[in-house]
Amino acid sequence: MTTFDTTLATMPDAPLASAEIDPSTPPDSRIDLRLTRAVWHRNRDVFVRLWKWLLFPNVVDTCLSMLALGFGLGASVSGFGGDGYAAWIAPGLVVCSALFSAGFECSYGTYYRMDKQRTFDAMIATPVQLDDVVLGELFYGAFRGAVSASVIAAIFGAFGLFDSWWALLLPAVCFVSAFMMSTLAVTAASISPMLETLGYWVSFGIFPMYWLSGTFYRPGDFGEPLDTLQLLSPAYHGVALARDAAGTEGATLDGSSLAHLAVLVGIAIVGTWSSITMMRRRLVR
Amino acid sequence: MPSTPTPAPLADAVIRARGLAKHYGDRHAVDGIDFDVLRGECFGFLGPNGAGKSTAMRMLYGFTPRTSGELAVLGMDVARHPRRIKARLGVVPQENNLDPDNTVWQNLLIYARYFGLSRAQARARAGEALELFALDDRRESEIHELSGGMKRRLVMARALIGDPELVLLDEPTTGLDPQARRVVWRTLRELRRQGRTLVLTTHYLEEAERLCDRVVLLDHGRIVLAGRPPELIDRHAGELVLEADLSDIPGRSHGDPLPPVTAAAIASSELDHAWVDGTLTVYGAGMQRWKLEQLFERIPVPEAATRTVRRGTLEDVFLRTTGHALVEGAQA
Repeated sequence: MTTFDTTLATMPDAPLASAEIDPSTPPDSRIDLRLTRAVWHRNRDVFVRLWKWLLFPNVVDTCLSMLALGFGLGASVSGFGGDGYAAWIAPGLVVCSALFSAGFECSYGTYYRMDKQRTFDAMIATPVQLDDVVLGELFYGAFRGAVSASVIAAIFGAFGLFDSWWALLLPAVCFVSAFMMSTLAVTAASISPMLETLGYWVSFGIFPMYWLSGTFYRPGDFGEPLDTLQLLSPAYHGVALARDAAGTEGATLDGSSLAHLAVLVGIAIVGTWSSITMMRRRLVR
Repeated sequence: MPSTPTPAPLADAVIRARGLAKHYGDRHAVDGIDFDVLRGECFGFLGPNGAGKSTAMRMLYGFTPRTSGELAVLGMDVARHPRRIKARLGVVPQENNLDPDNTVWQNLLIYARYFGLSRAQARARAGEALELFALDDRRESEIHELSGGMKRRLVMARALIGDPELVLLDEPTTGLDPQARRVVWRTLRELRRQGRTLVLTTHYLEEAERLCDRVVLLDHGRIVLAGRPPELIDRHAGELVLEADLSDIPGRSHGDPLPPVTAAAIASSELDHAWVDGTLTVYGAGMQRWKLEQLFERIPVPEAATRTVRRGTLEDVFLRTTGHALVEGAQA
């Protein structure tokens, strides 16, 4: 029997290539914000290219909701301040449009880029690391949500549906809320076995958050324990914060607004951790 | 007095792997391999599908973390300094993961951002890369408008954006027609002329023979053979090879053994042979041509079989090596 020579695989006499860095140099950072920005920039470029197609449906949907519920149903609804039901739901609809944009973009969009287009694989073959990719996706979800919500806020503002100049802060409120939503959506995408199973995220994530956000009713009218459970709905805090900014029914930005912001940021931090962890578990193998 | 010539120093090892392994539970995708890749050479991983080539390749750029062993790329540990390493690498993955949401030109510019290049640098590099791969007239094309060969070339052009010292190519020509394959080979030779080190995986042995200075053959995650293609052919296949295809002879079935008269003649000739899937291959490693021609004459094969005497190739080396591996597997 012939034996085969495998010694030629190695060249032990060749010196090892110079590392050009001190061997004690600390390991490369897990996150590089410059490259996170490059990942965000890639998505933003696509958005800029296709903005008419991407923005239009969201804006139209939200305006239809306002027409049907705010002005239509609102005509028969009493008990909502001087400006009526339309002004009551306006800040909520703005925030929810941001949540919808981010919730879909960072689930279906992210899944598509990760699994079908293999965009993530291409990025990771460069100095970009997976953590940068995930963060870039989250910031893009927040950006997209804030952009479409800002357009809607401008339209609602023009119709006089906000009572305070602090409503100018709505894009920022939407950015934070959409970032929070993106972290949940990316987590959903990273554990979804296939594109089709993301329907569960829509049915048991996005829509319950929307209906239970307090946009269409007055939180506190349920009675216990539902009023306490309401506090667990992530969207609720975004909507409440938006009402404080918009001055709905005389609301103002105060300590409770800070508490809502703190909840949003808290969920976003946990969600960022879970997005990165779950994405690593899925892709690094 | 003439000075004694000193031997040229060996190039440095841009990749050094020792005991490199990747296990997925009980499956040993890469099972403790040792190899070095020297600066400026073209190094090939050969082997059948599932041999561990792509896993080994992905480990080189930190995509797949190793289970055990040591791996230094460009003098750095892949687990510790992946960003620094990848800044000097170009990767051509097995799948064409081009960005279908963007044009050819945008694909390159966006990729340049991941290397931290300025806009001006990115434009210059993208222009050069498109020219090298004869794609400059497709700048504004959408990805879905490109042919398979063009997409492959664009993936290679994209890999050059960071001006890499080391280019990793996973199955660079799989799925291409022969003409497109030749275009890729030509550009790979050009990359070597530019002084870049190439590491490629392939199951086209002709490709390895034409391009690679050194190859390792992987089977079941292990290196089973290594060396320079011409030497491997000389040593393990020989200048001439006798091949006889008995698989289509009426009355014979697939698993039949070699006809006894043929087997006896081979045994007395002391030549080595492989008998795989109804095809007999007789090797004349290390023998002179005229002697081999005589020996082959004396090996009878059924008249209905297709009988050819041809030049030995890496394909033969491969078949012979894995043929033996199969026999060993059957005995175990």
